[in-house]
Amino acid sequence: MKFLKHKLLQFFLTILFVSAITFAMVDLLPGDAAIVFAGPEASVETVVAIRHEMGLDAPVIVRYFCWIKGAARGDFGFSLITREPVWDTLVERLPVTLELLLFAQMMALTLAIPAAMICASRPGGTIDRILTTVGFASLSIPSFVMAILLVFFFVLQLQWLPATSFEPLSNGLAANIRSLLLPGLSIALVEWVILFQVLRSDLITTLGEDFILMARSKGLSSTQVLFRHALRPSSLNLLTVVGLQMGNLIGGALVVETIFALPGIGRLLLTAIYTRDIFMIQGCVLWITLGYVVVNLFVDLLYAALDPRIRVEVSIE
Amino acid sequence: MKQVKTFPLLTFWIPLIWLLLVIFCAITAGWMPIPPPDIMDYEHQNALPGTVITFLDQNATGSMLNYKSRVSWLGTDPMGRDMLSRIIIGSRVSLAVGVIAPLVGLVIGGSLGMIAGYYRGFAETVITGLMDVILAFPSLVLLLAVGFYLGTNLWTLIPSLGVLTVPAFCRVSRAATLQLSNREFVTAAKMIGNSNTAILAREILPNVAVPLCVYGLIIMALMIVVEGVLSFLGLSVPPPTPSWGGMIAAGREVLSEAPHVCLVPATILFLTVLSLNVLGDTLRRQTS
Repeated sequence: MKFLKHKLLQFFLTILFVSAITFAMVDLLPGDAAIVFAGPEASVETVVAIRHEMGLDAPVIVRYFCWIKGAARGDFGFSLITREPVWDTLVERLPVTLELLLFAQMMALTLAIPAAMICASRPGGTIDRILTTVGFASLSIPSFVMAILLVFFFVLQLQWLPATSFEPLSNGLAANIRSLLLPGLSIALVEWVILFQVLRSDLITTLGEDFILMARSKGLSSTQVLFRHALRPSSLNLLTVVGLQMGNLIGGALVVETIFALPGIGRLLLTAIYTRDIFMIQGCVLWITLGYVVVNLFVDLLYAALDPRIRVEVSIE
Repeated sequence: MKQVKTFPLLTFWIPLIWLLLVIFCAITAGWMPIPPPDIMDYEHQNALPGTVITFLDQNATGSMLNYKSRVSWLGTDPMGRDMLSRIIIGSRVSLAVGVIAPLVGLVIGGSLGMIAGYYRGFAETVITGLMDVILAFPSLVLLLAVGFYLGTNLWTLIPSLGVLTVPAFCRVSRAATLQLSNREFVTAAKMIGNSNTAILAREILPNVAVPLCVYGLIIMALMIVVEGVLSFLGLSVPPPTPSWGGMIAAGREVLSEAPHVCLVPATILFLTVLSLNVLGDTLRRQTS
C-alpha cells in the first residue's frame, strides 16, 4: 500500500508539474496569442478585445485554473492555422501513432524473442557472438538513419515496396499494414536490441537454475526446456522494458512519422512547431507527456504486482 | 586479485583512433587544405566521391584565366558544396553538443548523486524525487518545446540537453557513493575527524569519477544522436552552419539520384556513435 501511495503521489506531482510547464509554455510566450490570432492587419482595439475575450488579461493563477478546467473538458483552444479545435485534431491523429508504436513493438518482439532464445541456448557460441555484435552495432544507428536506409534499399534499390503514403485501416488491413511496414521496421530494427539483450541475459540466468537441470534430467529436449520452462520465468524484465520503451519510442515515432509522412501525433507536433501553431503545440506536448507518465505508472504498478520484491524495497526506504 | 587490463585492437584502439581523428579534424579545420564549406558550385552538383573538380582560381593575377583542379574526396552536395569540408565543419556542432552537454550533466548529476548517496535521508528523497520529475518527461518532446520557446541554437540546445542527462549521471554516482560509504577507508576518514565535505572531495570523488567518466562516453554517443535528430528536423543550428543531421536531411531529397549525399554523413555519424559506444563498453567492462 505504501508503494502505491508513493507512486500515486509521484504521479500527481508530475502531472501538476507537466501541466504547469505546458501552460507556461504558451502563456509566457513573448507577444501573445491575441496578436497572432487577430492577424497582422488587426487594429489595437481588436487585439485588446480578443485578449479580453480569450481571458488573457486575467492574473496568471486565474488563467492557469481556467486552462486546467478547459483542458479537463477537452478544450485546448483552436489551431491558429486551420482554426479547427485542437482536441479534434489530436483525437484524429492519435490512433495512427498508437498503431505505429504497437506494430513496431510487435515486430521488435518477433525479432528479439527467437534471437534471444537461440543465443541463450548456447551462450558464447558463434551465433551468439554474431547476433550480440550485430545488435550492439544497430544500437548505434539512429532511427532516422535506419528509416532512410530502409527507403533506400527497399523502395529505391529493390523496389519491393512503393513509396506510398499512409493508408488508414478503413482502406483494408493489407494496405494499412503495407504502409506501416517500413515505418514500423525503422523503429523495430533499433528497438529489438534492447529487448534482445534483456531477454538473453535473463534466459541465461534461468537456464542455470536447478529446475532446468531437473527438466533436462527428466529427458526433455533442449527446445522443450527453452519453450516450456525457461521462457516464462525469464520474461518478467522483458515485459517491463516493453512497457517502458513504449514511452521512449514516442521520440522515434516523431521522426519516423515525419520521414514517412504518417499523419500521427508526432508529425502533428513538428508541423505545429514549424508553423508556430502554439495551441496545437501545447495540446500535443500535454497529450504526449500525459501518455508517457500514465504508461510509466502502469508499468511500475504492473511490475510491482508481478515481483513482490519491488514493493518491499520501497517500503524499507 | 587485480584483473589484467588488455586493450584489444578492435574494441579499443580503432574506435579511439577514429574519435581522435574526428576531434583533430574539428579543431584544425581552419588550417586544413579544404575548400570553404559554404562555396556553392552549380557546375558540380551531387558529384560522386573522388571526382576531380576544376575551378577558376580567384587569386590568379594577370589577364589569363587560371583554372585549378582538386579532388573532391567525398563528393559534393546538391548545391555543389564540398562534402568533406561540410562534414569536418559539421563535426564541430556534433562534438560541441556531444562534449559540453554530458559535461554539464556529469558535474551537476555527479555532485547531486554523491550528496544523495552520502548524506541519505532528506537530501536523498528530494534529489531522487527531482530526478524522477525530469525523467517523467519524454525528452525529445521537451527539447522541441524548449527549442520552440527559446529559439534553436547551440546556446539553448546544450544547456537543455545537459539538464536531460543529469538524472542518468545522478543515478550512477549515487549507486557508486552508496557502496563506497560503507568501505573501511571512508569510516577511517570519519574516525580521524575529517569533515563530510573533505571526505566527499578526497575519498569519494576520486572513486566515483572513473565510472562517471566511462558512463559519460555512452551519454556522449546519445547526445550526438539527439543532436543529429534535431538538426535532421531542422531544429538545431540554423541552416548556413553545416551539421551532420542537416546534411542527411538535405541528402534525403536526392536519395534516388545521388545516394552518397545522404549515405556519407550517415556513415560518419554511425561510425562516431559506434566508436563511442564500443569504447564506453570496453572501458566499463575493465573498470567494474
